[in-house]
Amino acid sequence: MDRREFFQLLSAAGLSLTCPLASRSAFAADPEHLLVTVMASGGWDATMLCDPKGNTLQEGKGYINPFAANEIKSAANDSPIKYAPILEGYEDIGSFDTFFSSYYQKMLVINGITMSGSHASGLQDAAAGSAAFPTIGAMHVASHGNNLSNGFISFGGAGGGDDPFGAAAITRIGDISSMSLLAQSNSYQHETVFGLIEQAKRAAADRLSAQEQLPARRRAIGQLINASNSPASVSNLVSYIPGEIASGMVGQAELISAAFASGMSIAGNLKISPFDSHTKNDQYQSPNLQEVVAAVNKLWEMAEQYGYDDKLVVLMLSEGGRGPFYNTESGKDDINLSSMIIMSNAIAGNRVIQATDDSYEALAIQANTHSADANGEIIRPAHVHRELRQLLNINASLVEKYSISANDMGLLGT
Amino acid sequence: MKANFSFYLRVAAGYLLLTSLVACDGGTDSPPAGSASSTSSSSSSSSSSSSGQLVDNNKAICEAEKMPGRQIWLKQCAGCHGDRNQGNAFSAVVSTDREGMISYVTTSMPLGKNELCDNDCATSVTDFLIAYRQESCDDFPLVSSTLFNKRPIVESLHSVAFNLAGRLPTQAEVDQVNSGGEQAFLSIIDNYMNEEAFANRIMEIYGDEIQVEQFTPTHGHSGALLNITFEEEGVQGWWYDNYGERDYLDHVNIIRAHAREPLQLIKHVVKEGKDFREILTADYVMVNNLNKFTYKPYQTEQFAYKDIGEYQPFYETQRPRIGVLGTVGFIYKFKSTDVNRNRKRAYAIYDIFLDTDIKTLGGEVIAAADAEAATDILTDPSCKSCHSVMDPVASAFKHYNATGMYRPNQKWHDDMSKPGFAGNSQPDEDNEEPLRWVAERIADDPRFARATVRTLFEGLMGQKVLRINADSLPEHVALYSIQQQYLAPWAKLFIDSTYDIKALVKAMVSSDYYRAASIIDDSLDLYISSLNDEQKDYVKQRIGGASLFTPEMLARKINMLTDNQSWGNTIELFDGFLDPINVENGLGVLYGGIDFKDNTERLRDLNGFMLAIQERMSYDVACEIVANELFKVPSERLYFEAFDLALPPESQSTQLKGIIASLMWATWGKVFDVNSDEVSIAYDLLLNIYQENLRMNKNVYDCHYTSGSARHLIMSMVGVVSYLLGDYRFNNL
Repeated sequence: MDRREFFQLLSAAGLSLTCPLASRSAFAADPEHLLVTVMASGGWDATMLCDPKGNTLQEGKGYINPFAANEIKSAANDSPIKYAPILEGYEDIGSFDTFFSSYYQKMLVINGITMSGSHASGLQDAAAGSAAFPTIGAMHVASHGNNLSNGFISFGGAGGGDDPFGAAAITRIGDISSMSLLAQSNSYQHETVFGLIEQAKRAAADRLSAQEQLPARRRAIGQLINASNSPASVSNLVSYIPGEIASGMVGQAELISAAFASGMSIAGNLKISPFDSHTKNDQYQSPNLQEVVAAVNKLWEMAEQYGYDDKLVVLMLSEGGRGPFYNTESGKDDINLSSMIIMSNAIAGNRVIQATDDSYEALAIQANTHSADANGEIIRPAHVHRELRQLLNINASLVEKYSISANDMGLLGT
Repeated sequence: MKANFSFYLRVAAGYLLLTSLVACDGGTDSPPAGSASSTSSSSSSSSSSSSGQLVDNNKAICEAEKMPGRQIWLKQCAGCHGDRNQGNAFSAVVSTDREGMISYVTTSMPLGKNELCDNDCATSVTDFLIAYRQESCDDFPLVSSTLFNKRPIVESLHSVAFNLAGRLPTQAEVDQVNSGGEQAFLSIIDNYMNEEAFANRIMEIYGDEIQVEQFTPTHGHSGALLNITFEEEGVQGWWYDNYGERDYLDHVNIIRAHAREPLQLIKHVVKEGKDFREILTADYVMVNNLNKFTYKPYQTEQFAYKDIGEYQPFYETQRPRIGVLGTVGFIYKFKSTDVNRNRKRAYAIYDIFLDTDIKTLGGEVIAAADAEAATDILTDPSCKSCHSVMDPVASAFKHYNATGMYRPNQKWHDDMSKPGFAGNSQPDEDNEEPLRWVAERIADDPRFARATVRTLFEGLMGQKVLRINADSLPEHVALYSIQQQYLAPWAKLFIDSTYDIKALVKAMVSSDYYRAASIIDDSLDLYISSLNDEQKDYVKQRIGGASLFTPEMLARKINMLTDNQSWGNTIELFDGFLDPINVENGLGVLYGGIDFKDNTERLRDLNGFMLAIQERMSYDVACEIVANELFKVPSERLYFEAFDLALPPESQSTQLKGIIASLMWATWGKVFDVNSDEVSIAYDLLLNIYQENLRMNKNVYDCHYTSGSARHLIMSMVGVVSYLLGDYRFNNL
């Protein structure tokens, strides 16, 4: 069901868009930043996106990319940001060109981040700075959206879950047909009677919270009270959902953008998981990287449409990388070297921190200058998250509790 | 942040019953495995202060310190566990199950460097630890055996009846526990577990673990499981040639029958009261009239697609039958490649059936770009810790191809480990199917018992069992230790009962943990005394058997209260939601459920959308409950027999309060006296609604087109039921 059908259904049923309990207070979340973490799960091939190497043959190993070095593109004439061409034989939906040429000035590419762990723990590490921490999205909501019962929209979490330790409540959005039922909770009672019942429910929850002896139950009752106090959700959200919801990650981007525009949420995860390309690497990577990039294009397009682009922070990541050389099945196997792309108007954009060499080996770099230096440091997700936490002004107690052990490398240029 | 405090674990019945995924990150100068000298060392063993019962650990000399395992302990383990196992990071496993401990240490310890401790070494360390414990030389205090005060027994009965059997207790059962107490309660639990709903419940819980439901066409799958089976069994032609002209729904059901083979096996083992290890070792597949046709086609005109039938064991298949592990669904779920070499399959087995997350064994994913690199995995020390554990199990699948098709004659990689498990290779892999050999040993491994307990705990308690490592936060370590205080004895009980799943479940749901009403602070202090207030609150808020319903449980409770006049009957879009497993319409996912594809972990905390679902449900279902009752003749009504539609509410206050009290029991599982405040509040709400309805004076209400002279009273009762269904107590254990 698309949004038009949805509204038709409501109209036919004589329903209006009201939200139970939640409609009591007008709402617009107004955080300094809105964060989207884009997860290309399975281990993307960054050499086919933002760290291209070309097809120079290396003895006994083959080549890294199926395209020539002179086919590698630049985001702009004055930009250090390079990107891979769309491979011959694959439909070019134009998203790479749009992505890099339209947004390079708010884009920081970090090539050569050494990840840790396997797929599940690696994704948590990439999204949190440690496999033992909540993701940066969960920490952002815990810091700035504690009053939001749908503050964090997730389309699939990191390996340990977005928030393995309960820092923030997570919301999932299915297809919007399921939401049509929730636009109106009271199907049978008169509005004044509805008010009486809701008032009685609230009073019961308050009473129960005071009486309950088990802390686990008190916590759950508190979540119910918090959710019932929370600002409007469904009705606000629906009015921002595009007329046709795209499939895949682009559709996820549309729904999260609607959640941001409606003021319902301040963080979200996009996730697709087709990147573990042990066989037929190019066949998996090429179209799916385009889908990821198209989703990010959609995030920025809708952010500009609704005027919150100055607040938007996008973190694109994967739990590892591939190859870099092809295996016997035209696939590339997992490696722990990868890239991240960070996009925001609040960082120094149009930059590449290049910590891989031509053979796609990790390079140690100096802090601040980011030039290769054998005595420098290998970049890890922890370095990135140390600075992201500062950018997002994560609550000091959370920063201390989930303490990152990494030096300030001056990556974000803020 | 390192966990840098000691924590204490329960000592019960004279021996330790502890489990822990413990990291020892010392060990760079370890002696050769199993060759440590028998040097005595003095210990400053001292008693820890606590309010619990303390053991005498002030002995000047411990005989156990003369044992060879002591030196290995000091060099390889004490870095994390402390020289007296007091827990520099956290304390180590000590169990009465010596063989289980040896197996665990051999395959897992030291974390990330398990090649430093072979079977002899593990035996030495284990014997030292057990002897050390028996001499009371280590630094554990004895602690209370219970951490919680229990709820009233009838409330526990309500919870258990719903959780295990999906129904309300009968009045006879309530009377029985009121007069017979705990013994009667335990006896009734036995009865619940003999009902089919219980076997379905365990199947549902394992559905979360195995997640094969994704392979049904309703989840967008094309039927690869069916095609694999056809090819193996030599069934010719397309499926519809053999099945005849069938519509799409038949196709769906046939494939679903194949996809659910592993889950139906689990149900069968539970239902028949078999040794639970049979879920891994069964030499049959479960078939109904649909998938049986695939294995043994019969004449199409006899095809009983209208009569799906009960699942039954079936033996006559080309594919070897090896419990869950040998099913097409399980193997297909974890596809392989020439480079992966079945390691996804091995990883899943350790995770699901051996309570071991291999990634916590240390090491990193490295490049394996070609066969040469893949070979290096077994010699590179940074790889060996994981791969020496994982690869022998991966090789057990050597006769299955990438998608899971049985290919006994295919060539396997010469450079891979031989099929094996826990340090032992299969002696003669030509004479026995390797997967069967390994499956039988997995089933006998004590970690299988732990994994079973873990799975059931998560399903029945609705709480995640933590896994910790040396970097875990102190509050997580404390929470883990509390969970293990309960889980470890249950694992032992399970083994001692010869893997009787009903004995295990009975112990769980009759425990103080499941039935928690409040925390016994003095007992809990032993675990959390070193934490700050915020950390203590974190731990306290996550213990005791309290959890939000899953979508499936919510659907069951609605069915229970409406005599299966379910929510979905009135609202088409809820149909999928109400299928216990099929949540594809998205509402189940919105309510924190899983779809076996993008969302594979359940949400356990209420968010705004979940509350919105509960709200909508509370109004819709209230109408159904009241209508369902009133459609019956009064003598057959469950709650409304005394409900007089001809009288105004003020004239039947006693009867109405009685009805409200009985509804509170049914919906909340709470017993309230008719004169209690809670009942009075609900009754006053009914009066207020009634007065408002009189004032508005609608002729017809949308709820089943309620009209007539009693319409205002009926809708007042509907309003009270909405109030009850919107309460926390309705959808939380």
